[in-house]
Amino acid sequence: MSSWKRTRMLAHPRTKVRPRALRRLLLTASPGERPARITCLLILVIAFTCPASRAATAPRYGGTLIVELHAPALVLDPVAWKVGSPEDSANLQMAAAVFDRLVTLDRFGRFQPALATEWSHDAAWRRWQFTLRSAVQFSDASALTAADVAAALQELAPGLSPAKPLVTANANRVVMQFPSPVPDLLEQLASGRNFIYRRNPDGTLLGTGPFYLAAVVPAAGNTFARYEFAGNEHCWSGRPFVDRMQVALGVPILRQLFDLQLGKAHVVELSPELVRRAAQENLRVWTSSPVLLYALQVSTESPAASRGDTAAARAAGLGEALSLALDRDTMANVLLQKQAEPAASFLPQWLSGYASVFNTENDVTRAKKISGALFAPAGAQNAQQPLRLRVEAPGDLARLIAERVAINARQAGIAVQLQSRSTVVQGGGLQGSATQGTSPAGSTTLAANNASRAADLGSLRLIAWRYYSLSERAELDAMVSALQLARSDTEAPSPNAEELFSREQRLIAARSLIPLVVMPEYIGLGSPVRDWMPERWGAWHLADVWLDEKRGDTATPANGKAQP
Amino acid sequence: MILALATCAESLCAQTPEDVARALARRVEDARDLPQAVSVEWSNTSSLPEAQSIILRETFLKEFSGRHVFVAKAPGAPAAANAVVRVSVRETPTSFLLLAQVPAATGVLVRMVELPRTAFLPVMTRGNGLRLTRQLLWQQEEPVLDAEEFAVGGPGGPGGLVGDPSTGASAGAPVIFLLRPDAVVIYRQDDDRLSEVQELPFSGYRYVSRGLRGAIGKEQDGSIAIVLPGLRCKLRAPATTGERWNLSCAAEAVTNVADALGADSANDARSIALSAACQPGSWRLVSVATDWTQPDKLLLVSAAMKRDEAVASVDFAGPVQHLAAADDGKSALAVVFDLASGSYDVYRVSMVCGR
Repeated sequence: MSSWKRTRMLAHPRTKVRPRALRRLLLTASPGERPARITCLLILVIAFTCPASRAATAPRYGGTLIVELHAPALVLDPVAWKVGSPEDSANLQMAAAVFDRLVTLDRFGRFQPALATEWSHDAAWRRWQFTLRSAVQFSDASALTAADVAAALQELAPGLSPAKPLVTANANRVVMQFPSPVPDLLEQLASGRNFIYRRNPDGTLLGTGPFYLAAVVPAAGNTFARYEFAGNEHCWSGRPFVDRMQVALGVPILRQLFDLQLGKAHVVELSPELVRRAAQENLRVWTSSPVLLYALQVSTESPAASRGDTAAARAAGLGEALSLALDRDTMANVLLQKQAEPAASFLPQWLSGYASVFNTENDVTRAKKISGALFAPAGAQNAQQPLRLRVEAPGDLARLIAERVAINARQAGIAVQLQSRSTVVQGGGLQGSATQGTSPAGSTTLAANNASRAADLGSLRLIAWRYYSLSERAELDAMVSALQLARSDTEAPSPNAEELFSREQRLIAARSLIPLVVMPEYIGLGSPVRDWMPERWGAWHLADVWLDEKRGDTATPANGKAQP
Repeated sequence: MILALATCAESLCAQTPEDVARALARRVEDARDLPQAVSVEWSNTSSLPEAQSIILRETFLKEFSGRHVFVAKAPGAPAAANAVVRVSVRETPTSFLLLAQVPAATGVLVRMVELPRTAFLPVMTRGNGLRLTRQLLWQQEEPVLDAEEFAVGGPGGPGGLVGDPSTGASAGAPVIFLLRPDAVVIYRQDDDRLSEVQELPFSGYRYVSRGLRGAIGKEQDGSIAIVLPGLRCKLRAPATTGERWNLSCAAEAVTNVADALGADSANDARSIALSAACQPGSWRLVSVATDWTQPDKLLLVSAAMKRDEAVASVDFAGPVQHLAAADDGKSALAVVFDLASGSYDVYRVSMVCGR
């Protein structure tokens, strides 16, 4: 008998009910009195057996959580991730199940100890010291040391903002020394790729988190590849509620919806166009804060030096005309069926707090005037050459948005030609779609071989940016760096909200990146899923999820077969 | 758990929310070209409780009125002054932002101050005397695994107990036990507040459980039993006046934590019996939430009736994670996780007869 049960019995030793006495009590009653006596007995049973109880259903252990993802592969090594890449979103969620951080941020704005139990910094915010939790073990039962933590942080240090620290280990403490103040270090460590791990000689990683990777089953025949995670019994924060987690990869979005409906999956990704359908079919849908930004990057690859223009001024003019021409409200509300929000800033409202101060102005007349002035000096023939718009954001949705951009641009007298990319943009971390093709958007679809002449006028890129950091400054730094946006040397690397606002204001005014829409992440949940308590910025907390198989449909813990 | 927290930004350390509101007022005043007569439009678009927003607004207006004639203005109302300063309360994952948009000759200036969200976390440690159907007894940030009330002394009380107000052990007086992952704390209820009698830590024990497992119960000999994952303790009341409660613990190996703790799940009745002198009959308090993600309510149901025939209900701002009847069966203690504030609240839920 478990200790839990014993306690309850010791606490209430009067719960024994003797069958003979019960029968006597009922038999001695007149027929009219029996219902009343039965009721009294029931009350007595309740009173003596339930003097204390778990209220809102307490979590239960056991079961296999079935997760389906669209991503074709998982990369659990944070060093391999590219900042801002939407493709790495699934990697981040799964890594969070395997690795821990030094600190976490809860939904109430409190930093909570994770692998670090204490932290402090000097007055200049340059030297940070973390005291590590004792007796933490990796999933192979080996002990976590300060050297492990320092090694992991050192690997990830180039991603910290504003500069790379020197990380040293001393007994059970880790010290990070920065060349400039980093008052937002906790925000950075509580988010993004800043996990703690041990790198084995063969390059594989060990984690201290609630799950560990137990098996990788490659796709075979008509089955999907899957990663199998098992609960880590050594986890310092307690083992997860589910025993195992199966993550099927490369599952088409529509198939995921079907599997959710059929009870074959517990957690699936939903694309925005399927959210309404899922809601109509009474499926549970969780929505994060907007975490994905679609934006248009403007560049003049070959500045018209012969005309005496500077590249920056030309790009700014083009950017301004495009920005005014774009109808973001229609994109968000019609094209994306209200599953997105118009974006006027780089950082979302939930992260910066000030995003709504920026306006999304739509003025086609002014856009026409600017584009007219911009293209007219080049002569009529050149003015008709289209700008290339490379769709570098993945997915069909990106192409839809790009087509809308092309239509809006054409309304302002700017011809745009759509292109897809299959290559990966170095440094930017933004993967292109795997398909080649041109847009069906009427007259905006032009032959791809016009590219060389179009280069004279500049080019456009449609990019998607996944927000990762809980530090506004770090997120903006990452964006500026990855997208190679203009950056003034005089800007102080400060996380102060007002200075960040001014900096973002200048970046927006430069028009080299035009925000279009921001979109949340949509997750479909099976009916047995309980305590799905993600953070609004998108962290899932899979270890806290448990399965109520009595209430919901049971997912089959087997790999589904791919549809032909 | 001891934390050396260093989370406030440089300009925010040791500043109260009111200080920050005053700082914003001064920054707005310093903005150039501000006409003498301005109106202030204040809005709260954050999750900050409206009462807190009003306090900030009043502080801001008081500071601001030093140099300017102003008219406080509701959002959307026509401007009654030369210019309108729009102040809004916004939020980020770690901070609340007070953002002022100030009209100026060059356009609209934006001034911001921020204050950590933690500035508004609950600091109170006692209830405010809600007496209708629930009474907040205790609120804390650390998890509360169990809250139980037992009458001590007299028949059924911990054996050998003598009256001693200093230890909460006055004969027959109810004592409230709060179980935390690191300690059990004994309280005495004085009117609408709890007074700490004694805190007994589980020395050398490391609590590991996601499910907030842990329970307090009464043994046959009147002592108090405490069970945590991997630990069993016995709490003995003072035998003589002046003595303290005594806690003795022993590790109890649990071969399979999941099975051992999961066994309790089957006994998930989510209801307790309740009685009241003024209302004949027997009643049950029933929790309705299905998991810990949603606000809960307790329904008062006649023991002979179904749940949907509840005669009264009490709403809570989060899931009722534990429900226990007081020793006399006339009230219950509910441990609630407040989804809005992140605090663990202990309520006494009682049947109130008449008005």
